[in-house]
Amino acid sequence: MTLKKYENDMLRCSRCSECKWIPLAQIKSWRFAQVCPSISRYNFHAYSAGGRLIMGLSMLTGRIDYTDSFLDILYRCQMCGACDVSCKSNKDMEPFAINQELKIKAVEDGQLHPVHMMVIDGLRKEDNMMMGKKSERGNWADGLDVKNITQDKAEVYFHTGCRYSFDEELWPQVRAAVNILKKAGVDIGIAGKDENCCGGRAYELGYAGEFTKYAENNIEMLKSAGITTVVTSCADCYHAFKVLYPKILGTKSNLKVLHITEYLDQLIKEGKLKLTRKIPMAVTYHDPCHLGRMGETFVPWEGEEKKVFSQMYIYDPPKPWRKGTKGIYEPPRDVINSIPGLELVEMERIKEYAWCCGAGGGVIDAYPDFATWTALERIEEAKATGAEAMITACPWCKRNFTDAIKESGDKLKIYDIVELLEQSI
Amino acid sequence: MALSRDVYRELEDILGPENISEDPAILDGYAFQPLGGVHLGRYFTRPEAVVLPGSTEDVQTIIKLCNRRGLKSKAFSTGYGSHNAVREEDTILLDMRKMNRILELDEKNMYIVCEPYVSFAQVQAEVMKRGLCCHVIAAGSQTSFLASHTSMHGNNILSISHGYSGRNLFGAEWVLPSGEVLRVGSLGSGAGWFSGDGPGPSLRGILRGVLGAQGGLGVFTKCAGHLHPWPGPKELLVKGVSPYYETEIPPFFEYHICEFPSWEQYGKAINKIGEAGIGYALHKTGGPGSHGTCLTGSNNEYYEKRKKGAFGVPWKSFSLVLAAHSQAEHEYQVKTLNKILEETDGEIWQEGEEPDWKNRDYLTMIRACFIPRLAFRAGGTFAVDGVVAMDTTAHTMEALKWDESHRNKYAEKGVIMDDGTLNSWMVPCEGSHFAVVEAGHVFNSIDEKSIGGMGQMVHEGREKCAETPFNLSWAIQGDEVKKYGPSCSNYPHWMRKIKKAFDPNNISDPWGYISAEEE
Repeated sequence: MTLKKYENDMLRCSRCSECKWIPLAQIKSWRFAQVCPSISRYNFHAYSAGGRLIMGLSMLTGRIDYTDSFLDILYRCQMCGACDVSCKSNKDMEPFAINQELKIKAVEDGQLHPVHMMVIDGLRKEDNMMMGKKSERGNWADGLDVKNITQDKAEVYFHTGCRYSFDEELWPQVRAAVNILKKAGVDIGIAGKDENCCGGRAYELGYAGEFTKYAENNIEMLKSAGITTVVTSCADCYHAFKVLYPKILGTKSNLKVLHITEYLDQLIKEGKLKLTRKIPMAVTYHDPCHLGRMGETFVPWEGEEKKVFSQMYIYDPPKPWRKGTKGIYEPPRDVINSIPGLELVEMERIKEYAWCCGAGGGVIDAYPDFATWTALERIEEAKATGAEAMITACPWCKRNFTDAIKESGDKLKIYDIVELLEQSI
Repeated sequence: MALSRDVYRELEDILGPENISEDPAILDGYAFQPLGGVHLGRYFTRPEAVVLPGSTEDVQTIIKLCNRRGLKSKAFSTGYGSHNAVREEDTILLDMRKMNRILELDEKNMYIVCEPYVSFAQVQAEVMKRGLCCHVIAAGSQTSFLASHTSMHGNNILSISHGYSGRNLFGAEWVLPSGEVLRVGSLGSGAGWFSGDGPGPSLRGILRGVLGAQGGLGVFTKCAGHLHPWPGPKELLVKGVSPYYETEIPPFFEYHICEFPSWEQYGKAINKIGEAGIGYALHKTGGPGSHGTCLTGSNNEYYEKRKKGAFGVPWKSFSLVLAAHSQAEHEYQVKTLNKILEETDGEIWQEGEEPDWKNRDYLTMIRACFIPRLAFRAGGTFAVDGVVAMDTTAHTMEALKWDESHRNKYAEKGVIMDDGTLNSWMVPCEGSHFAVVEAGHVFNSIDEKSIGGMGQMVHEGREKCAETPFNLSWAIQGDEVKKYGPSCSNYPHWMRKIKKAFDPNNISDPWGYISAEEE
């Protein structure tokens, strides 16, 4: 059992509660000091990463079994990874990995969430997480003059993702992304109706088998098309291709993966995109979890714990920790700063310790009220900067913020970074 | 014994169904308490139920219900340490997390009023914006401001200028074990929060004393804490990405590690710094934990660098921050420090002058942000080896001297981490006339030999404490205190009297304090 692999980490939890706060050195106010939506909303310790570690240990040692509360705690988590950064800021532990393994174990044990089951049924039937029809997946690109990698040769594959493919309100952004890349001379292709889900969200729901199937299919498709570079506008898909594929498939996945913000930043710096039109506006930037702290390159590691100095533990060979240190933080900021007229004002919780939008881990499907609550927390933080708009770089964030704003009647504007870039060209 | 259905329903009616749980998955989150007692086990007694009160009235109603129904109670804020664990059957645990507001910040009179689930880090961030600072306990800034002020000893790196928690407590709102609400200090006479001693009932010595009742004497729902001048920037500009955070040392500030040839000279220097009133922050290098760990991002990184000779912090050394409001004051402080070092044969340890070292260690000295890194990362946990004392600075030097040999004995046995550093810790307070020593050592929380050995080390340390004056220890809990009473005015006798008077039905979990029953 994989959970067992993490038993030492569970035993080492000191119950310090750092996982509930942004890294302590970064706390700037009373209001925006918390980092985990789950514990912030539901309060019992079990809803924190530390609490879930204890649940895992209690389950491993036979102290507890599945209950309704257990599953509620497990599934009311966005898998945003903020707890992981805060814990690892001061310790060598794997709270996020344990949470992931608990979800996988729950699914293997048949302890499923009914709404997630519906979403996964949709995935199995229609190859997407949006319960849309597979035949309609390519509609977003209707009328776009763009290659299809299933028929044409292209250097770069643009992966649209389920949210962009089926959320019609968001189509202009993804169409803009393709147009901008083409304008910059990128030889780009899409897969249209033949595109499949990346599998990343299924994995975070605990459906490891489904993830592996989709990951293998996608790798196969890209190999057949001769693709070595993947670009996506979706932070979740980026994380799946960049982190989960090499983690689960190993060397079978040998792709260069770029988020659209990285690619655009590169094109701007190379002078291939000229931004001339002024957009006079104060904006703030929301780091999507899967692009920021979760977006670090995956480095495979196999090894074991070793004792040194009598009773200190290290890893042999040294473990390449994922502590959020090397997430994708600067490229989106550089793109924003290169748009004339935009003034970037930062929120208190940024980069590796950004507050989540609320949509991840299947929460937007199973607990929409919790997803909205989480988004509204972020919107409050954005408003506190005095910015007129919040920019993000992920369709799930955009959707959740937009819906929360509709519900609350707030005036803050929400943009995808590509929308403003397009206006500026 | 499971909670009877009618009691459960009553609690549900008071708090709402979302604010009570008796599910084992939730209860284990409170029964698990590894800090300070892995050698005692990780899981303690499961409470019968956990409740989330939202107000003083909620707390009062719950406590009255416990009195009426013959149940025990224990309040719990950030819940860090085995003293937070429930030890008695039939206990309702009050998780105070929902009471998380800062109620008042009085800049002029230099105090802040908080509910239980406000952390030191939150308070410090808010008050620094106003040129003030609060003391931040050495358990780390993620812990509860109120819990330490009202219920725990609360020593810290800033103690040399800010004192310990007992000294910083002003007015407090206290739900007694009987369910009555008592407002203590100036608050009790309706005069506001500004004083812990009056006008109004001055009960600081009873409600907390030096060590705090640790949840054994009712529930504190609000308290005011003393704030201190902060000559630094309104916001510490933290550079870097986790785990490599650091900040620049501001103008008119100094940071140094000072080393000494003997404990006597070390103690003398601390006395002189206290008497001169120049220290803003001071603690013995250690942590507890290897001081160098706070400069590194992982154990492997620490190990590789330590192997090559880095982080060889001198055993008889302390880290010191001087903080002045002006150039002239700064010059005076530096001149005074140099003179003190000259008089005590002290020297500035040069590795501590490296920018990375200074900028990271200074940050944690002010914000207590790397404490869990120091104490836990290397071995998984640490424990104090029995010697945890607040006493005169001279006595604490004796304790440190003794601890050196104690440490060596258990390092030779392979029980504790031995990286060649001395991890015990101390801070001075009360103008450096007093000091707190915590002879903490890193051990391996999943290695049976290490756990068992640490248990033995603690036992031996406590035996030593009983023979010496090092016995006013927050690590000695519950009825264990009776062993230490005879050498210190029989203080457990007085604690028991207080417990009986304030908790007639014995409803507050006595583990961290004392039980009402006579031996």
